[in-house]
Amino acid sequence: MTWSSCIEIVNCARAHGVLLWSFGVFMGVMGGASPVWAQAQPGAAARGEVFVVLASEGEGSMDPSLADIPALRQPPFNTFRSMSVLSRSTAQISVERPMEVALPNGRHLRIELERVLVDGRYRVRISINTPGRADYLSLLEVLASPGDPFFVAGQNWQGGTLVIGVRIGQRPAAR
Amino acid sequence: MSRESEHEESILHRYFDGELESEETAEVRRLLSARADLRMDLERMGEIRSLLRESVEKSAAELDSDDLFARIEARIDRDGEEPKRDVRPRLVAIEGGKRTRRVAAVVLGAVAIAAAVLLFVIRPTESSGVLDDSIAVHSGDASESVATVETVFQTEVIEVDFGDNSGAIFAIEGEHGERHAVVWLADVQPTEGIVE
Repeated sequence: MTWSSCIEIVNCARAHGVLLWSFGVFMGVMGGASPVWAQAQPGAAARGEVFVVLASEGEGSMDPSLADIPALRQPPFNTFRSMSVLSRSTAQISVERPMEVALPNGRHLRIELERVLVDGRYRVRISINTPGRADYLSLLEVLASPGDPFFVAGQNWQGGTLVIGVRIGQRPAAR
Repeated sequence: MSRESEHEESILHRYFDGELESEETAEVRRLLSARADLRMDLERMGEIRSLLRESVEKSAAELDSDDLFARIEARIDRDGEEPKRDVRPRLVAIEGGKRTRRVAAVVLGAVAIAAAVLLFVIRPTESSGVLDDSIAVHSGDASESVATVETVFQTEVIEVDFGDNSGAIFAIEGEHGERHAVVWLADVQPTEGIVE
C-alpha cells in the first residue's frame, strides 16, 4: 500500500463520517417535524360542539339545521327517515378543562382535549356513561379534523336512536 | 424356469395389465380355470398393486405441495444468484486533483444536507406559530380564521373500548374527501333491578 492510498482511506472515512452525521441529523429533524409524532402543546384549547339527534326509522322530517351535515344522509344513517335535534351545546375545551354534556337518557358525554397536532387535528378522548358508572362507552380516542363532525350512535331512547355529533375546532375557511 | 412357465408368467402379467387380445384373454381364462397356482399368482399381483396404490396415495396425501413448490422456487432462486462479491472495500489510489474534487463534492453534499436540515428546523417553528394563533382564535378572538393551518382532513378513531357492549366503527366519506368517523354501539340496558 502506498502513502497516497493511506491518505485516501483517511479522507474517504472522514467524508463518509460527515455524510452519515448529516444524514442522522436530517432524519432526526424530519422525525421531529412530522405531525404524527408532534408533541402536546400545553394550554391547547378548542371550541367543542355537541349536537344530540334523535333519529327514527318511522315517518317524519329531517331537522333543517342538519342540512349542512351530509354525512347524516349516508350509510349507516340513511335508514333513518326522521331526525330531530334534541340539544346543541358548545364550550371551550382545553387540556385542563373537559366538556360535559348531559344526554336525555341520563348518561353524560365527556370530551377531553389531549393535544393539538401540528397538522391541526385534535386528539380527544370521549366517554359516555351514567355518572359513577362505566355502562356504555368507556373510552373513545379520536384524531379529529377541525370542524368535521364525528358521531357516536346507537343508544336507544324514546323509540328512536340517539346520534351524537361531536365537532372540535372550526373548519378552515379555505375549504 | 421352463420356457412354458416363462410364457405363462408373461401372458399372465399382460392379462393382469389388460394388454391381451381377445383370443389370448380366452386362453388365459382357460388356464386360470384349470390351474390353482396361476390363480394364486394373479391374486398376488392384485395384492401387490393394491399395496402400491395405498402407499402412493398415502405419500401423496402427506406431501405438502405448497411447501415443496416453495422449496423448489427457493432453490432455483439461490442457484440463479450471482456469486457473492468480495465485500472488502476496494482501495483505489486517486491522483491529487481528483481527490480534491471528490472531497469538494462531499463537502458540497454536506452543505446541501445542512441547508435542508435548516429548512426543516425553521418550518416547525412556523407551524407552531400558526397553531398558537389558532388556539388564540378558539379562545374567542374575533377574526376566526385558521386557513393557514395545513390540515389533514381525516378524522381517525385511534382507540375504542366497547367494554361489555358490542360495536362497530364506520367511516363516511364527505363531499370534500374528508372522512367522518362513526362509532356505533349496541345499547345494552343494565339488568339491575329486573326481577324475574
